[in-house]
Amino acid sequence: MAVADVVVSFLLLVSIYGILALGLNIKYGHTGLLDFGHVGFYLVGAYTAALFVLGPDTPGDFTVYVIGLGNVPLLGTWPIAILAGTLLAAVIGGLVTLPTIRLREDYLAITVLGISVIFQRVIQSETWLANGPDALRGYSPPLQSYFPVTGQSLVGAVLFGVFVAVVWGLTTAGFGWLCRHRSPPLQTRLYQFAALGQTAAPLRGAVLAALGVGAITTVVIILFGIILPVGLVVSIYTWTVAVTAVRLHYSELSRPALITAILVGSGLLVSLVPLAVIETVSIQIAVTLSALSVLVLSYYIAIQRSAVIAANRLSIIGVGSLWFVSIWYFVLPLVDPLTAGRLTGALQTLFQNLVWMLAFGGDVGVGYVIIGLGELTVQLDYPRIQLAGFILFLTGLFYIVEQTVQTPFGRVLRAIRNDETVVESLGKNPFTYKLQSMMIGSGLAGFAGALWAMYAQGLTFTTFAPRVTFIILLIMFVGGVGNNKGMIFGAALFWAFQQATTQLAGFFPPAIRVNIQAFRLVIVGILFLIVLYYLPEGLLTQEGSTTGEQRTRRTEGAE
Amino acid sequence: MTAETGLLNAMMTGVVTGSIVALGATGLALVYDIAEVPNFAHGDLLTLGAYLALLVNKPNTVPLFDVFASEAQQVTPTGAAILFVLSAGGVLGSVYHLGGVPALKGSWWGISAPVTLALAVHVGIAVLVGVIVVIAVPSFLAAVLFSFVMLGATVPLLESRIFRPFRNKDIELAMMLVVSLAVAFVVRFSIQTLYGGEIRFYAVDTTLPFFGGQLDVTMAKFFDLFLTNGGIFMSIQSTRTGESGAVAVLSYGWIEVALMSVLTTTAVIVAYRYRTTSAAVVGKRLAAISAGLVTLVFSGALLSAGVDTPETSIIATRISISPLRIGIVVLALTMMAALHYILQATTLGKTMRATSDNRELALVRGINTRRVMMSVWIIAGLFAAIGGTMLGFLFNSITINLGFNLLLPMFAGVILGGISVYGAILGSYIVGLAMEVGIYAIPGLSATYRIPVAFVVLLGVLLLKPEGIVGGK
Amino acid sequence: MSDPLLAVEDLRKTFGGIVAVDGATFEIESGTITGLIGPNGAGKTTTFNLISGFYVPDNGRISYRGTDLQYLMAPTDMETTIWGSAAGFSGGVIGAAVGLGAFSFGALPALAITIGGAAVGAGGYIAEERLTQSREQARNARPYQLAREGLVRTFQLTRELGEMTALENLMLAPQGQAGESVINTWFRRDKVSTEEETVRQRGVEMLELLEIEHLRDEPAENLSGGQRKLLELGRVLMLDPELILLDEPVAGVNPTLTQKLMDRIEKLSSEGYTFCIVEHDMNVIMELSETIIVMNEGKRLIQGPPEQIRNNDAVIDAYLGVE
Repeated sequence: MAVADVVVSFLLLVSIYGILALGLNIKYGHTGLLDFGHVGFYLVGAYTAALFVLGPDTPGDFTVYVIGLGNVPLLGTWPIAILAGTLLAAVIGGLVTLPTIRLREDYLAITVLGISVIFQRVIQSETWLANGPDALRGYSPPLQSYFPVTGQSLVGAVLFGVFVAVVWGLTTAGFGWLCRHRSPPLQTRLYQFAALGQTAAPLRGAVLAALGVGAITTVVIILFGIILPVGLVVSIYTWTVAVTAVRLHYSELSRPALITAILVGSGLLVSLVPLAVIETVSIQIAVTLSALSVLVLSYYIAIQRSAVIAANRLSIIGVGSLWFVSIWYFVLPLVDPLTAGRLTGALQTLFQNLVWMLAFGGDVGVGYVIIGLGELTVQLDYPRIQLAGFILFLTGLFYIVEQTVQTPFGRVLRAIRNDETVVESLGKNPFTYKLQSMMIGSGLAGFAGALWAMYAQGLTFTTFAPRVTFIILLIMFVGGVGNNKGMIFGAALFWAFQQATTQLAGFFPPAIRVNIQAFRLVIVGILFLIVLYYLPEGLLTQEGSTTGEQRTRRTEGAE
Repeated sequence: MTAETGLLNAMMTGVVTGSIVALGATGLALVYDIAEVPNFAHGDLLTLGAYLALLVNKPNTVPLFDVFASEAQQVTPTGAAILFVLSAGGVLGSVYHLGGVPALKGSWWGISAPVTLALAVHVGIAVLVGVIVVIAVPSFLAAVLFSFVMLGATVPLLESRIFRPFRNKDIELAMMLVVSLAVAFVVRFSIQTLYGGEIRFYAVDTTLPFFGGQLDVTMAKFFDLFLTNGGIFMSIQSTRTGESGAVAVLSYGWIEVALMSVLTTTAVIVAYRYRTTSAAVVGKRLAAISAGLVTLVFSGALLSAGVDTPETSIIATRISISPLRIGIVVLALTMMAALHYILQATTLGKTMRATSDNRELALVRGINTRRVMMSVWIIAGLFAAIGGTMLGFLFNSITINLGFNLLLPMFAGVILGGISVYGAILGSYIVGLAMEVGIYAIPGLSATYRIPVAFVVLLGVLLLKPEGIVGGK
Repeated sequence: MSDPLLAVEDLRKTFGGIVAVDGATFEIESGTITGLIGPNGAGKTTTFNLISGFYVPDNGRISYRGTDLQYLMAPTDMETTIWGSAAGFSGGVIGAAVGLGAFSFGALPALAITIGGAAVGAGGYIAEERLTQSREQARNARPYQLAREGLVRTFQLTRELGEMTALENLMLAPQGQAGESVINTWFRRDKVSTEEETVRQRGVEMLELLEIEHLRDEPAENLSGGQRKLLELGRVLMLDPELILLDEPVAGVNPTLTQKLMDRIEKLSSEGYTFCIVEHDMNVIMELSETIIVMNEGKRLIQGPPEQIRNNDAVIDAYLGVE
């Protein structure tokens, strides 16, 4: 599996957890309601959506569930299912709030935790409801039958055009936002080209550009079927924007800081090498752990010694991580083919990872023969269009949430978080606001649940354990309580960590995999404690510029 | 009419469950109340206690330590030395937490004693414990002792290294909950990192010599109760197949029943009124209950007449219980009695209660709140050790989620009772009873609903009284 | 002489064993500045809490603009609707569960049981509410409903919203802002932003009035004690209230600022606002108040113009005697 596929899968999970975190952020970050049972609403959304799209229960097969609306016209479709899941989660969120609203904050947390456990147990024991302890399967995500897409049919071409439109639109919107805030001259011209010559507000411009590009693509594919060149062009566009974004974000870093960052990233890479090279488990662990300790210690000393490094310590870690990730993405996959002497193979891998928008290999696909790279089969697979959809949802919901909190409503919520008595003394009833906050937050969790149902194509009750709420809490605190962008950032960090440790665990013998997986959660716990103690505001608000942004954003919210 | 298990049996099971929950909830309530930490990691402390005991009970199954095990359940001299050092260190460490080196010299004793005496006593106890543990390997009781002292020394580290720094940052209560959540992660998964995922169990010889015969403590006995026209009959039967017939039959005619009631009531009233004059460790209600129970048991023993099991009866019911489970109830009650004694009769206990009422005021009055907090955590650790090992023993399985599964009922018990030690004890028994009787009473409710039932009860109480039954500050 | 704006009659409040307010009776006339003084423990702040609806009196009657406070703080229709529908929904769900079990008897009985359950749930809740309200012992403590009627108060220990800026603290206050409804923020964005602009203007003006305009973007927790007092005063003024209870408005404030505050209060009083001020600074009270109520041991000791109070022996005894 190409590295690009790993990243696609990673981004899918980040989208789902990002939405979950946004929901909890509304409850706790904005209103101060600590909800330890957030996963309960995730469960409600997932199972509701599944039951809406499942066909009617056929007695005699191994799956038993109470109702399946899949064959009902209009109702049995995914859009309605997602809507139903969200609404039901919101309603139940409201109902749960009513008896718990008068409780002290810690009582509230535990009680709602208990309620989420009740939900989980109900699913587990009531076999007539959703197949009990066994997995609830038998439905398929939307449009799956059309994939993989090769662009040779009309429908395929349209779907490909849609995919390109979404990617182009999101990238251009981000690009436009960057240009508006930083105005780099060279890139602005590129932006104007990408946005098809418009100078309208980033969002509107991006949407129009997306539609335009999508239409063009569809036509081109229908006529010529050239999905690879199109994919190549669009992928390169996204890479350009990404690189620009990173450069602009870290433009204030001085050269010594940059060098330190690269050293840190490389150091991390070097300390992980023993895992791949050495055979004996105990020596592997010993060498890697010592190398990592040396790295952490040296960085700590560097912070103490150099003012420059101390001032930028988080940025340096950021750049170092990006450096590490770039090497992991572009360079490491080449190691195997290169050491085996297969230059073509190496180039192919590099090319595949560059053109992340398309999936390579497989039976179905368009064949190409390229000089220097050999034969390639290319298609657009289902996870990628699913990713486009999920990211679209995430962006849309993020936008809605931001709109909701930068308003008088959001102000009342934050006031409740600060001091409820003040809100009361000013003639506002905190009860209704808390209720609404819980409903919106739970609705978001329900939406995420529906997306999960779509992604996992099967639901088991063990997925919806309290552990999930704790991970969301971690994401929330790491990303920055109250900071919506931080939610997405935190989700990305968490899943990056998960992915990284899963890959690392692969280097160890299966017998101790369980122990290694447990150990990574120990690390998670320790990091959680460190973040809670040193950075209770989260990672994003610590960067110098963002605090200024944070403050301006607060007054912007007042405007 | 044959006797079948019914409501009374469910209630008895509820009392056993309640006792186990109480063992954990007591420590949780202490820490919640006095140290103001809603300790989400408390369940995992029980798990820790259970797993630590394995070092003594089955040292050859513990990764990294198994090099020091010579054969199944035996340790090499090096292993023995390690266990000795750990046990002795556990004792000394626990004392150390009470105030550092001065504590080892006796500063926490409450009476002024010469330094050398205090040192000698502490070191002596430490050595004694170490020796007991090493000699008695692999006895289960030695394992419990080992776990006991180890947790006593290590749990307060959570307070000094983690919770106190956070408390000094003046964070809100909800945040402490989140911090303890992170701690729970670290504790639980550290255990799993070392021990891995398989289910473990203690190797315990469960038979004890009893009145000339062997008694298997884990075997349940049936207590059949019959209510007939003639009176009340109780027959005790063994469950071992092949052994039919009753071990003992006790019967009481109505006259005897009346007599017993009169005697018991008299004892209760006398004890109650006797205690109104003196305020001491054993308060009025406690004295009354104890007197009543003692009278009941004695009169029961004296007044019974051995007859055969009756053929027909109005009501017949059966309680199935094993000596082990009775033992757990007794153990829980004993530990709570000990805690009660500490709280009421010792200086330490009084300072604990003062700190619980009002921390600033206690500080002002010269109470060493830091020491009080540490002692609270030590007690919590000790209770957790007992609770965890007993839990592992009772269910004959030790898993990573052992303690966490109990966490929700523990919190339910603590919150139900209002955050105080006595409230938590009461709440735990209510939770235990609710769990068992609820499952029994509601038809069609499977056993997975035990915890949900506890929470429904909690929710119901909180709806009416948001501060809990006893609580309210 | 018109009816008093606020009338307190035989007010009583006990906490555990301590009687904080013990039969206090007094009136406040509209448009006046009334001082409320007394030694520590006299029950002044408790009285404020009772008047502003944060506590429920054990006994006695408080009327504002002629209406009993308990009626003003009765549960709103919306609240009753929310809780009633929730009770109804839960009743319906339980009924449905029972009904499903009874399904074997037919669909109609099942449906009937479900609807019956819902009706019982909703009806039961509403009936209970009505019964509680009709009884004299209605124990409502809903200060926000009083604030909406124009009865506002500040706090002895300032309660500013620390993480929000000074301007935001003020912008929170105005009532009935369109943007406070989620639906409006989603679907009536133009209306919300126009109103926001208006509110922001008012906020900035208020800051200028109180001469702390330079602190507008400063998180409230960074303000000094005196500035916080000013902010809190500004916040209640944004509500355009009628009766303003000030709890130690100049405690810990430097003399210059105190003078400014006093001038501001006098000016507002002349514009028609009614003030009741608890203060320990005798100079401030004597200068500002038109009438002074002296409380001691939970009761009103005496009431009268400043000159009368200043030299009254009973008052001096009360202050000295407690010490």
